[in-house]
Formats: sequence, C-alpha cells, structure tokens
Amino acid sequence: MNKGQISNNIRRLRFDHDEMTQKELAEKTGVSRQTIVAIEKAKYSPSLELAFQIAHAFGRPVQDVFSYEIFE
Amino acid sequence: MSQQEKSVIVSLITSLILFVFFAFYMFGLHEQGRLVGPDVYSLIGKSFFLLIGGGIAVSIVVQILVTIIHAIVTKGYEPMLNDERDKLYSLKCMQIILLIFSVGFMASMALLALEMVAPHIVFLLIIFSMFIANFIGDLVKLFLYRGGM
Repeated sequence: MNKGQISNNIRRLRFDHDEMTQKELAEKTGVSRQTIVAIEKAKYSPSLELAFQIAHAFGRPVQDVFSYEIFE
Repeated sequence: MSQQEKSVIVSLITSLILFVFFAFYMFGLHEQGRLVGPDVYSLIGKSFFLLIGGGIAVSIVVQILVTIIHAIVTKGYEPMLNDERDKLYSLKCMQIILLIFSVGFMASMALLALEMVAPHIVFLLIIFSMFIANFIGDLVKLFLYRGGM
C-alpha cells in the first residue's frame, strides 16, 4: 500500500478569517489549543468528525481545508 | 506545556520515586534475610498494597508541586480538556504498557518454569515489570505529546 500524507490550509484560512486565533478555533471545535497546533503542523491527523468541524468553523467544504497526497 | 504533558511528567516522577523506594525497600528486606520462609508471600503482598497507597500519596504531592511551579513559571493556567488526541495517546500508551507488562509476566513465568529463580523473586519481577511498563508507557506518551506522530 502506498503511503500518504494529510496536509492542511488551516493557517491560511485562519488568516482569511480576521486572523482567527488557534484558541478561538479550538473553542469552536471543542478541542484543546494544543490539538489545533498539532493538526496545523501536520503532526496529528484529526478524525473525520473533527475535520468536518474545522471545515464548518471556516464555512468551507472539508476538501478546502484538508488534502491528501499519496507517495508513489 | 499542556495540562496533559504535566500529568505525564507527574506520573513519570511518581513512578521513578516509587521504583527507587520499592527497590531499596526490597533490597533491605533481602539483606535482613526476611525474603525467606513461609511469610515471604504475605510480606510481598502487604508491601505491594503499601506501595499502591504510597503511590497515590506521592502522586498527589508531586502534582501539587508541579502545578505550583508551572503556575509560577508560566504565570498562567490552561484548563484540562480531554479531546480525541488525548484519548488516542492514552490508548497508545495503554497498549505499550500492556505489551511490556505481558512480556515481563511471560519472562517471569518462563524463569519459574525453568526453575531458574525462587517463586518470591517471580512476584517481585512481576511488580517490577509493572513499574517499567508504566514508565516506558509514560515516556512514549510524553514523546507523542512533544513530537506528535
């Protein structure tokens, strides 16, 4: 099976939303700020539910926030 | 440093203190020649429950100290929130603890089966493998929190 990596645009989307802080995003999605930091740095892959919640917080579809790249 | 990382550090310090204390205590009993005779199993059982009680007390003291020091250094307080990442890391930590403890238990049973050690040593080996499993599990959890995965 080919390995893949999840990347995200959270930093840019936060910037587009009046410099939304990590703490504000954490409060909107019901997780800790550390979890948002870890997701933003691509050190932790969120569950599908959390991914949808983050996308919902930005008012965007989930594919605008997260993308998946497969390494051949 | 998050509350979770602080809890892991408290657990690591507590495990280390108890491990050293228990090792010295058992070595003392061995030196006194009290680890022979029919009362040895009851003595190990009592020591184990003393250790559990001591563990709770040490954990509370270390938790208070770490919280005070952290609050003084960072001048802030972040509430404890247990989200999906914390649950996942706890599960991974538990998996490692169970794996290492199982290896320790199997090794102890193998030593007993091969009659390489006395039965009371097997009890001590099981207790020590529990300590080591807990310690390594906490180290892995701390690594996950610090470095991610």
